[in-house]
Amino acid sequence: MPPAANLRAAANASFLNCSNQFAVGALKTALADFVTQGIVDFPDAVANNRPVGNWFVPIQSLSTSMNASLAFTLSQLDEAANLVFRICMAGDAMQTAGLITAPQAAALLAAYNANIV
Amino acid sequence: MSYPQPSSNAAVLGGSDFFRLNTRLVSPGDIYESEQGSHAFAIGPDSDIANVNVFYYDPASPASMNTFQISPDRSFVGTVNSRVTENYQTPSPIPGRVLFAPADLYNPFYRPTALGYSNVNDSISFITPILDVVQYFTPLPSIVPQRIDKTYEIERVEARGNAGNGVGWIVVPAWGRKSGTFLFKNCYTVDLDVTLYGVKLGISANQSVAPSLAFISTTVENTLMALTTQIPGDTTLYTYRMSVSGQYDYFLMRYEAASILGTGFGATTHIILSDDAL
Repeated sequence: MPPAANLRAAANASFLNCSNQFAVGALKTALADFVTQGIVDFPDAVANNRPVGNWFVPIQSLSTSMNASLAFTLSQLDEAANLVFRICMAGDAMQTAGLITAPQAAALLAAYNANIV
Repeated sequence: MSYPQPSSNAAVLGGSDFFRLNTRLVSPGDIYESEQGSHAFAIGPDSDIANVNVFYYDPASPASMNTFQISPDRSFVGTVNSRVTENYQTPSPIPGRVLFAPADLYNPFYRPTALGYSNVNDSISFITPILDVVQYFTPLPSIVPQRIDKTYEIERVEARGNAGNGVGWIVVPAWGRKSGTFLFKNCYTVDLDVTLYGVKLGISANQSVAPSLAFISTTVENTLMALTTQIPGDTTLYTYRMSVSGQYDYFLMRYEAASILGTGFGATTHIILSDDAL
C-alpha cells in the first residue's frame, strides 16, 4: 500500500494495512515498532499530548499479548485495526484543536507509514 | 473530546461518591483518563455510546494493562485502582491512570456515498453522540445502568440539500438501542420522499474498494423503511425492533422533495429510542 497522505487517510486505511501485516505474520512487530517510534513525540508530562499518547498503552498491551508467530487471531486483527484507527483519528482531531503541533502529527503519520503500511 | 476533560480529582476533593464523565464526542479517537480508583463503573443515563472500554493498570497483564468493557447490560463492580505512581510498560513512561474510550465506532466523516450521497449538492447532519460514564467511589453490591429513552425532535431538515437541488440526510446514534419509533411528517406543500437505513460502520474510506486478498472492514447500510412518498400533511410511523431488523451504529434518514425549488425546511421527524426490546 502507498504511504498515507494524512492522519485521516491513515485511519481509514488502518484495517487494510493491519490485515496486510496480519497476512505475513508481522502484525505484532509492526504494532510494537509503531509504539516505539511514535511515543517519543508525545511525552506524558505535557498534558495536551495525552489524548493521543494514552492510545499507545492499549496498542503496546495488544502487541505484547500476541504470539511472535503467525498464530494471530482475527479478533486481534480487529482490535489492532481499531486501535490504530483511533490513535490516527485522535491525532487528526487534536491537531485541528491545536492541542498537538503539526510536527507531532507529522511524526505520528511517519510512524504509521514506517511500520503499519 | 472536550478538553481539558472533567477531572475525577475534583469530584473526590468535593466529597462526591461518584465521578461522571458526561461529554460530547469530537472524534472516534477520544480517550479520557482518571487519576482516581473506584469501586464500580457503569454507563451513565445520558450516554449514546453503549459500549465503553476501560483500561487500567494491572502488573500481571501484558504491558501492565488490563481491560474490561461496560455496557447498558453489564456494569463492572469491583475495586480498580488508579496507580499513578506506577507506569504502564510502554517504551516511554505513561502513569497507570484509568483510561476510558468508546468501544463503539463513531465517525463524523461518514458519508453515505454508496446510497448516492453527493458532496456537492447534499447536506448531512449528525446528532453528536454523548459519552456518559460513571465511576463510583463507594462499594456497591450491584448496579443496573439503565439508559434513558432518548427523544430526538428534528424540525430543520433540508430536503433539498445545500444547493437546492440535492437531498437531505440526518444521522442519529443507534448504538445498543433495541427498539424505537420514527414519526415522519411532511409539512411541505409538495410530496416528500423519506427513507430510513440502519448503518453498521466499518473502518475504510470507501465502500467500493476493489476486491483484495486482504480483509476489508466495510460499512454496511441496510434499508429499514423503504422509500415512502408522503403527500403534503402526511405522517408515517416506523417501529424499529432489534429482533426483526438487527442492531446498528447509526440510523440514517434520507429526505428528498424533488418538486420544490430552492432551499427550505418542511420535513419533521420525532424519534424515540429505547434499550428495552419490543
